[in-house]
Amino acid sequence: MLMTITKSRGSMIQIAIYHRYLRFLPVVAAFFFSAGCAHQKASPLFPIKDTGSTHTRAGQSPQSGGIEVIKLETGREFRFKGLAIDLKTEKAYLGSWDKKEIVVVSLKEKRNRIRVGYVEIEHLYRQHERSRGQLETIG
Amino acid sequence: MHGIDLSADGSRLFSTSYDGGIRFFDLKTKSFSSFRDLATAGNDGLKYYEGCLYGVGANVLKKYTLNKAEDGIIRTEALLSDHEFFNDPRCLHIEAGYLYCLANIEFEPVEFGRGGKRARKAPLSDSYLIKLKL
Repeated sequence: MLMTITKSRGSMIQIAIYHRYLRFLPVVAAFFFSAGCAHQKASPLFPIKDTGSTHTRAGQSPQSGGIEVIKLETGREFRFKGLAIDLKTEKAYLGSWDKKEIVVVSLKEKRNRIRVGYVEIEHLYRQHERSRGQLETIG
Repeated sequence: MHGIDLSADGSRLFSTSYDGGIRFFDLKTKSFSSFRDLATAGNDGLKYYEGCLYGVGANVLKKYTLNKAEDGIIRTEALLSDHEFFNDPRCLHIEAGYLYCLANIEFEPVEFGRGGKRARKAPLSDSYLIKLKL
């Protein structure tokens, strides 16, 4: 009987301790978990890993390897349909279909393994007089 | 006719159109090969690289493995479909084992097909290149 009472008191104390200190444990764990997720989201916009792996198949995450996203930093000023790349000089030549211009973007600059090309943007040609169809070289 | 490219030896032209798909044109005989597969239709850009053709259109980047004679397609793979930066990609450049794809020709979400399928929900704020290791 005494043993039972002692055991019972012990259990009561354990429950009391749990209620006082440990009941918040799941909440605390959830807080740290969500903080970790938030930190991941706050990392660079395109944390693309250049792992050199094989093809990323359709439906897979684009971050799964073998893919690099290059933001051209030309904003919404130009919409492009033409593309030529000179790997020796690391320049991309882009033909703008709305502005009728060719824009050169340098791909040399790297930041966080993301290629960001905005160091030099040159407007090579501008369609100066559309009606005549004459091209004027700038610079 | 949309995309067009040359074979490595310059003897053959590869072309693609929305309705006819990929065709093989022999520059010596000035004739198309008998290959015809309408499932290869829908590409805009088309590039040849090391025995394969790569086509892009309708938000899908595909790889077409050619036969030995390079006058027909023996295998088709979708490499990227509805990539998060795709918004009607149409241009390709392939060099030194890497494929470069101009991901978006528009910023606002582009609709595809009669059903008005939109791959994107939000507009893009810039233009993007996708660099893919082949």
